[in-house]
Order: sequence, then structure tokens, then C-alpha cells
Amino acid sequence: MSRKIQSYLVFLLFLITITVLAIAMDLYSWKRIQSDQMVAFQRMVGGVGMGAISTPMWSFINFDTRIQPVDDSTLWPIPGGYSYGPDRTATVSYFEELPANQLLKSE
Amino acid sequence: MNKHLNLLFTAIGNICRNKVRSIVLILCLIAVLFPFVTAISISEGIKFQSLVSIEEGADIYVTEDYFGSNAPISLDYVGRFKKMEGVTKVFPRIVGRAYFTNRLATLVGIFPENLPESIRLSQGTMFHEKGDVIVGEGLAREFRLQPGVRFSLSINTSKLLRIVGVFDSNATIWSANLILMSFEDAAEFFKVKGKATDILIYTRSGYAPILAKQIQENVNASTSGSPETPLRVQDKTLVKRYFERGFNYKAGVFTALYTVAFALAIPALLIVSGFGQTERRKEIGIIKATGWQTQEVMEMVVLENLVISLTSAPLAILTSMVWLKWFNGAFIAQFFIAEIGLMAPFPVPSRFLPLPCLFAFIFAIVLTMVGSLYSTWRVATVPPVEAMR
Repeated sequence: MSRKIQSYLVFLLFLITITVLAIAMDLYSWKRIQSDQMVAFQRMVGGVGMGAISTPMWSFINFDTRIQPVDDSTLWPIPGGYSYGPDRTATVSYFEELPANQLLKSE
Repeated sequence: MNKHLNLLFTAIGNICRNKVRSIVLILCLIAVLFPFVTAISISEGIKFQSLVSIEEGADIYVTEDYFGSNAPISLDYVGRFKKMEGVTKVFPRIVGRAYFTNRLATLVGIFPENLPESIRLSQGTMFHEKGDVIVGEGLAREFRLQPGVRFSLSINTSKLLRIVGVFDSNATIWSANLILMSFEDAAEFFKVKGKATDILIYTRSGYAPILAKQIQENVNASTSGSPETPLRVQDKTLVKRYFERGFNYKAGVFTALYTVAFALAIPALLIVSGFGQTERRKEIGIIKATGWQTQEVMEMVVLENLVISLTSAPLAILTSMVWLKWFNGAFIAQFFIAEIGLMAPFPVPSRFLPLPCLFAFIFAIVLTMVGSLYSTWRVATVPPVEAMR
């Protein structure tokens, strides 16, 4: 085994160890955060925010479905057309109105 | 065992010898894996904060239903909900939006009784007097706001507000551009008296679904003789369904498809351009001429790909981690969190879970194998003289 191969193997082992340790540390840090400021803030305001947007740009649905679960941005600027809302293009979260069956049959 | 180890060392030797090819391949893989790892980790970070928001929020949210959309609810309902069995706490709140110069802010109005003592502010104190507000760190940083500053907004210029505190930036991404004030101030600000955006109901364990049904059915039935607006009731189970669909289903499928589509383009390009193929053909021809079997050649290439993937995936994960944790996702976070600009005004939440990291490694393996196995097999099965030509 040449020196170069030895060095590469050592580098590879170091890289994998560092990555595993970094992931473990990140997981641990998130466990500690749970009891921190997020909880106090959310308790105070009664739960605000759900999606990957910090303010409701065009409609509330992507910001927090509890405040407005209806995507009324589909009603404008082109009624019935596609929503051009900037908050709709978020790639990590996307909320759609959940269909509720409101049909009541009378016998 | 010795044979396999020797093949592994030969594979590593090949990687070290063909430096340019190996570096280009590793960089390409990092470029492919980096957005995938970043998107998934930001998604997991926001998902975590979102779950805290749901868990710590109310059990039932009630609004009025005007023409199929949510509408402000009368405060008269508060007393009626309080009397229901299983209810522990009821409070109304106002959530609205207004422009603070060119920055959109979320305005929240709550009763001062809800202010917890444990909340930590980066500056100032909680509000005590009429007109006092607490602003998010994003707004404070952008407009250099600090406790003591007075302002009014064009939506109601007669309502003068005074900043008494600034939220800690760690209190979720949704607090960055938020203005918190008392319920009374929010009602005055929006000029809507006797109404709230929604009424929050906290219940004893297990009561929420029953109460939600009761509210929907009974309270909707008119008691005073005059017709009442229908109510829209959302309980925690429904909100959790939104959460699961919003993150797991849509985001997961989208991100995976996007990444796979993007990723497959690169090795395809490498194959089409024939990058390093002539050299590789000659190499395989030579080792076949010295007595190597096709199976051994294939095993060596597989090991080479494995080592390349084991190098690229951790490097992509570490690069993503450094970028998100140390540089707060500068320039790239805006692709995943809408409308935050080049530099996020809050700590970009990112959570690196083992499974997506494992997926990144599997992606790397698949990509390298797709790009090399078939072409190697084709070269390895022809006579060495032809391969070396």
C-alpha cells in the first residue's frame, strides 16, 4: 500500500467521522432548543406560523393555515387561474386547502 | 478477503492517479447533492418549528365563515365557549398584516394575561401600557428600531405605537417580522371593534374532537331567532393534517423529483461528452492484458465509485452545514424560504437528520454507477487490443 493510498484512507475516515459527529451534534442541539424560546413564544401567541415564509405575502394559507385555510390568491389577478403568489413557490412547504365534505343528505 | 482489499487499494490508487477526473467528479457530485441536502435540512428545521407552533397552540380555532372564507368572529362567542364542558381556557386574538414602510409585517394582538414571564427579549421589556408593542428582530435590524421609538402606520395614522421590546431572533422564523401588541390596541389599529380574527379554545385531554363537533353543530344552530353566520372550526387533528401534507407529501415529492431530475443530467452529460473515456478504455485494456478478469475490473470500478461517493456525500453535507450554520444560508436560503432576501433576518432553521444524509450518499452511489458501470462493462468484455486502440 503506497503512502498516497494510506493518506487518502486516513482522510476518508476523518471525513466520515467528522460528518457523523456533526450530524449527531446538530440532532442534540435541536433537542435542547425544544424547551427554549420557541415554546414560550408559541404559547404566548396561541400558535402562529407553519410554512416556509416569514410573513403572509399574498395569502395566509402558506404562512399559517389556521388563520386562513382558503387560498384566495387563486381568485386573482386572473380569476380561476394559477396563483402567482410569491409565497406559493416555496420549495420546502406548500399548503393546499383540505377538502371538507359538507354534503348533508336528508332522508 | 485479501483480493478484495487489494482491489480497494487499487481503486483508491486510481482515484489518486487520475486527480483531475476525480476532483471534477467529486465537485459535480457536491454540486448535485448540496441543494438536496440544504433543501431537506431547511425543510426539517421549519418542520420542527412548525410542530412546536402546532403543539403549543390551541386545541380548537374558531372563526366565522363568510362566503366560504374565514372571517372575524364576534367576541360574544367567548362567554359561550367558556361554559362548555371540558374547556380550560378561551381567548380571542387578532392576526393581521400591514406594511411597515416597504416591509410586510404580521400584526398580532393578544390579551396581556397571556404574556409569559419566561419569554426572553433581546431588548426592552414586555408591554404594560396602551400603545406599547414588541417588534421582531428582522424589523428592528432593518429599520434600526429600538425600545422608545414611536411610529404609526398608514393603515391608521391616528394610532400611535411605541416600541418597548424586541423579540429574540431564536423565537421562530415567524417572529422576525412580527409586531405584537395588546388585543385592544390591535382592535383599534384595524378599526374593528368587538371582533377577533379567531377564538382559541384550550381543552382537557381528549375533549377537543367532541367539543369541535359540538361547536360546529350546536353553536351554529341559532339561539336568538336571528340567523347567525356559520362557524368554521379547526381542531389540532385537522391542523396536523395540513402540516403533514404541507411538508411530507408536497415538499418531499417535489424536492426528490427536482433533485433526481437535476442530478441525472450531470452524469448523462459526462457520458455524452465522453469525459475521460479514452484514458479509461486504455487502462482497462492494459489490466485485462495483464490477466485481470472482467468481474475484477467491474469490482474495482464499483469500489472506485464507492470511495468517490463516500468522499462526496460527507463533503456535500459538511459544506451545506457550514453554509447554513456559519453563514446563515446567505444567498441560498431565499430559494427555500420565500421573500427573505439575500441575508435572512433570522437564524435559518436547518436540521440535519441521518436519513436524508444517507439518501445523499445513495444518490451519489447511484449517480456514479449509472455513469460508469455499463460503459466499463462494454470495454471490459472486448479483447484488450481493441480496448487499447
